[in-house]
Amino acid sequence: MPFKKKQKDTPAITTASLPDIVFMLLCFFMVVTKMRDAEVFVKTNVPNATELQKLEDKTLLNYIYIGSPTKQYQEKMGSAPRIQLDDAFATPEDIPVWVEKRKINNISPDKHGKMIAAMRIDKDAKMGIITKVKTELRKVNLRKVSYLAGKRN
Amino acid sequence: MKKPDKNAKKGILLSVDVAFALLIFWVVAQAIHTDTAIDTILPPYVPEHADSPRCHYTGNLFSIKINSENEILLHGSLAEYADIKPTIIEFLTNYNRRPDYSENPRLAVVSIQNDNGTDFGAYLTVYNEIKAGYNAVWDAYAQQQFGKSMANLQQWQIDSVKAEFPLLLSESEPTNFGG
Repeated sequence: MPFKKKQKDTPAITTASLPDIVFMLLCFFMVVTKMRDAEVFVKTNVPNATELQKLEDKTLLNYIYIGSPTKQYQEKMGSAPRIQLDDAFATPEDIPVWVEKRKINNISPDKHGKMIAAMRIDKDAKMGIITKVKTELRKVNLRKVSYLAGKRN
Repeated sequence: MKKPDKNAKKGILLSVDVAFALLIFWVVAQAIHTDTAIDTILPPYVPEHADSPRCHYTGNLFSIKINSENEILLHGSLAEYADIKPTIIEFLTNYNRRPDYSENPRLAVVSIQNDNGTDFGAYLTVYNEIKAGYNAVWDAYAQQQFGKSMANLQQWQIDSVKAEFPLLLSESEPTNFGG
């Protein structure tokens, strides 16, 4: 009897599930990763309120953070409430220049009249610094101000 | 040659379903986060040496003062935060009943003055209560005039409600007693 090689049928590995695996990976990364926001150097524990409005149009918002610096910055900056604009500490006098920069770089010209200053202020910050910020905003005619707040029942 | 396994096909279909279910789960579970806020409009900037408008009448002016200890003075008397909303409503809908409250809501002005040492939390609470007072008055008026709440009105109706009870807020220069 001649030696007949037995033909093994190797089952082809199905590739049909590959797209699914990739899809699941995509889902995983979409969920886990977060869009990079500006890193916040100050503690902003916002107060609670009832008469809230949603800030719908994010393209109009200009975030101003006011609060005491977080622990890692307290050595350098002290613990009194400070202002943060974009990625840096600032003083109230920096606001007009910052607003003009935002107008050039971030906000399209047809929306300049609708710009909103979204103020994320710690509830323990004192009004003195906030009044200064408000005065600077009035000087550059950015008069729509939204104080961020949480929901209270 | 073997026929393709029917079970394998079923397995693929199952995994598609699982992936789809996972996707739906994440979409539902992840609420899209929007910030909520209290909106205000600041007054135009007037240089300090210019003549700023002065209030000469007192009857239509309702003053709220907050000191650096976060205590509030409501129309001249010490009060709690919870008192602000009902008092505002009473003040706005007075129509000449009390001599020291507004004679006409169209003329009524609410004035806030804080100290430089006031906490922002206290300030915003007061602001919130004033807005709550106005919202309550607007809603009541809308119900009375149109039989609907403010949220269901058309723009011209909203305008007419707000013309009857205009939100006139005046923020005085802060005092500087406590730092």
